[in-house]
Amino acid sequence: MLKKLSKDPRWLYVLFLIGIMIPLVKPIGLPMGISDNTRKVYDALKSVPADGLVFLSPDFAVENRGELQAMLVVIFKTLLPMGVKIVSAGFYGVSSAMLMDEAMNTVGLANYGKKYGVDFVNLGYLPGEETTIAALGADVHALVKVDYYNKPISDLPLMSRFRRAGDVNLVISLAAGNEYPEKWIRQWQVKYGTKITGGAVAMIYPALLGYVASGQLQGYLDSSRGAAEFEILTGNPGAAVVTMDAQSIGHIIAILAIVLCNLSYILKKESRT
Amino acid sequence: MATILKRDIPYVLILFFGVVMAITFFLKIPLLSEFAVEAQRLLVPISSAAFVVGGVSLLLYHAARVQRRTKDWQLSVVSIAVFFIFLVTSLAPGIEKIHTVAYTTIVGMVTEAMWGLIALFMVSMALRAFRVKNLETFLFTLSCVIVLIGNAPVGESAFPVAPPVLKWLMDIPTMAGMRAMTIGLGLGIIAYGIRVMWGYERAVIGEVRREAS
Repeated sequence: MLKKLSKDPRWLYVLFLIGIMIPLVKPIGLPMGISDNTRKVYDALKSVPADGLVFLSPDFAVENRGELQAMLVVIFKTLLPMGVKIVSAGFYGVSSAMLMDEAMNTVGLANYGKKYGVDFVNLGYLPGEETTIAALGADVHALVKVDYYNKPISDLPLMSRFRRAGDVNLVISLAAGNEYPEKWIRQWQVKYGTKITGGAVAMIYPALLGYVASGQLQGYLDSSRGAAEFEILTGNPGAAVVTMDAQSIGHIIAILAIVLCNLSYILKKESRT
Repeated sequence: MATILKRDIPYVLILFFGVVMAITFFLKIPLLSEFAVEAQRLLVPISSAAFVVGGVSLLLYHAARVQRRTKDWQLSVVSIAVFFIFLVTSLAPGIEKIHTVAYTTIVGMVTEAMWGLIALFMVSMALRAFRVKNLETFLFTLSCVIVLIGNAPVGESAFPVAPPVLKWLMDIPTMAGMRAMTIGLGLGIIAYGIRVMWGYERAVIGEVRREAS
């Protein structure tokens, strides 16, 4: 049976699909601990004064939506009731600005008594990667003329108080690549001393731990797990918490596969001897 | 004359901008800082223009494939059609919503499905590849199992010892390895930057190194 499974893993695929689909439809609600890094992110957000300014950068594209969109939504939900003003721009690709727009529609500014242009502005996608991040820090109004919806930024009251990096209390970069938080560190944290935090996909999260330890990043959320912890910590359980049960089942199946793999290997070795 | 235009002037520009940008990063010299900000701002329209060049290049490539009827040329027709659909819906006023919906529902779903498939391959890989043959493979498999257990809520509940071990793995060996890589990469970038500024890297101005070929 093991030999058969090893040669044709499609049965395992079916088992895996069924396993992860069940908790998505009917969540189990397994308890979960909150990591130090998630608490650091929470503290960084809560340290922003009411009426402070946060720059929210969704540095990811649609393919990372499964891992980071829930994180974007819960961060948005946490910031809005605090009275914090939020300016957003994406540097990863055209879709990053769309995802911010999607998050804005999901959360609903009106639900929090907030207005576009006064409490939140989406500047859209800004091409040019690190150079643009540097130029934005030096002079926002010289670089950007219109927002994502083609409205002149001079007409948006919030933009009158966002002119350079020094006006921002906290940068939140939700990254699909470790180079994005690193760009923010190089161009804003090192130059202007701006505080930076955010979240990343699981693949690049270990690469950012060194920056957390050095204090250049104020904690960082680890993919869906970090988003789920943040949802619990802020009392906003949502999409990420639901995916955690599915992740548990997925991990159990992966561990079973490893055990089966080694069992099959040992049996084969013994039959040879 | 051709050499001056193709090689010497680009190298002089690279050296000039490289030195000025490096100085303004570390020192605050008003005149140079203003110049650096202007130069950085200039890169945004240049980056935007690169999208036009990329689009034209894509169209020419696929048009040539269709004209020559090369293998799977029909896919090039689809590429050209999709290119124009997205171009028109994003530029034409009043129908931006169509572009957003098309992008998130077509491109979004396709790319997310591609990423989702990785999970299946990882399970398949776990079944085939994690064989404990010696001490190295044992340590590799053990660390993988700890990460799997420690990251999932079920593992945390069943094996309370897993999260602290995972934290140690991430904070000590993983961080040490990542730091070594980051520092090495940083030094490599500095060395590469110096090579570019001194004209040792010819690929940046479109010249293929003869010795490499």
